[in-house]
Amino acid sequence: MTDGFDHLKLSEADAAMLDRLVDVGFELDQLEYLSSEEKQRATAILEQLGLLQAYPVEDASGTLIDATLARIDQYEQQRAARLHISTSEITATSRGFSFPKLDLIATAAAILLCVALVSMFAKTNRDHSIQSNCATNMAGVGAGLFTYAEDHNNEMPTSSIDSLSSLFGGVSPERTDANVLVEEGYCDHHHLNCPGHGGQGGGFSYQTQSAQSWENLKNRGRVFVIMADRNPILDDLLAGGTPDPLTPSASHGALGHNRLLDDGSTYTSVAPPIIGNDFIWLLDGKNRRIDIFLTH
Amino acid sequence: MPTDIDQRTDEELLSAHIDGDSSAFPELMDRYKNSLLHFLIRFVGTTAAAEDVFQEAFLQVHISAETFDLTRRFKPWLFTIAANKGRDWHRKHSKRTVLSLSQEIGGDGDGARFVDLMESDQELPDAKLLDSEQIDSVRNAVDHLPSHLREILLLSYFQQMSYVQIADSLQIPLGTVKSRLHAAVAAFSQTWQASNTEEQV
Repeated sequence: MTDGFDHLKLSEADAAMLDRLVDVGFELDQLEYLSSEEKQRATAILEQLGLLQAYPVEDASGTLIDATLARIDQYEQQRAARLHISTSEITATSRGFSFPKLDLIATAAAILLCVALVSMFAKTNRDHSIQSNCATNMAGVGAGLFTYAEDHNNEMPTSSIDSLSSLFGGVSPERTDANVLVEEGYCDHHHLNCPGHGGQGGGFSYQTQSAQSWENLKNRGRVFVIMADRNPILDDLLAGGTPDPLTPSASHGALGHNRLLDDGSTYTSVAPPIIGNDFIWLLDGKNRRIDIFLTH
Repeated sequence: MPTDIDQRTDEELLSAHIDGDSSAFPELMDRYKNSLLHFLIRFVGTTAAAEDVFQEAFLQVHISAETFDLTRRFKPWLFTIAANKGRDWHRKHSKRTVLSLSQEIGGDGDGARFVDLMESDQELPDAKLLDSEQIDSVRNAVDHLPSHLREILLLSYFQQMSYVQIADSLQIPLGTVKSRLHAAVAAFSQTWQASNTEEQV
């Protein structure tokens, strides 16, 4: 692999001291018989590596373990659902080989299974293609959003959505509004939909963040989702149901949910849709006015 | 066998999980949720991606549990799986621009550039006292490390894995582990200093 770092090396003295530090788990006190220069060198290395401690990290959210268990359950359910084919005995007779009636049925079932598998592979390829096009569209909207923000004092285009006021204590929340991007020429209309959605209504969901809170969110120092494939449980929520926040996405033949993150990248995941403490599909019920929640 | 789940070793918990004890796996995850997530955030760069890789890693642990040699230690195995999943993630998602390193600290004339940390005249602040721009510089320096250097730096410094353990886990020669760690420290140092110097100008 070539990159901008291949030709960088530590000096021989630094490399030797680093090796000694690795041996003692970076505990300076564990190094014996150091000259003053060696001690100074070891300290310089440890100070440099100590900066790594400043890399911002967050503790695991309360839902991470549940989400992981849900994913394992999902895997086990899929595994249990796999078909097993058992072969039957073929008996030799004076007229050749005889297939019992049950075996003939099993053979027919196997042929049907093969046909189903071929269809499934074809469908999977189609799903991959749709997922890829969906991500491309989403990236197009993302590029439009960032260009729009550059032209509008770092504010996102938003609109209020009265239909969701019941979920927000009577207040109509604002959400990112990609339609403005089309109207003002920042992206094409066809970017606004996942091709797998068939153009029925909004193919994507958008976060309920007001334009003014954009900078506040950035200051929280974490990644969040600007938009994603259509929120699959919102309709259930609006109908008064209590959908399970760990419901996996069924988008693109269950290949995963595309998400546009605030750094402009797109991201696909089959994981239950909770990242950090941000409930992408559901209100967390704690601070609704600034909750990240995908609406369509 | 100890009855209190908190008293069991990681390996005993994994064994219990294989035997169908439904409380064992959540306990294992709970033990490593923060240390593994922190490792992954530093490795893949975002909490969102790290949480996804965390799930992938524990799913893999679950799938491969029966193949694990219970006489060995669980933690290096877990972090090896996580590092592999993190590398997969980088392969799928990472199209990053590597920062240009134009500032030389030393050289031997044959194309290699040598970094000597003692010769740097820049006084390093305590990590706890960094301002937000300096924290960004640290993040930037780590994020721009290629994944094959980053994983070894993180496994070595934060998980305190030895060269032998890392070589064994990643299935690469011991000499490669050493040279990669050396390159990772040199690159981190130089990138951080370059970006910090730019900010001070």
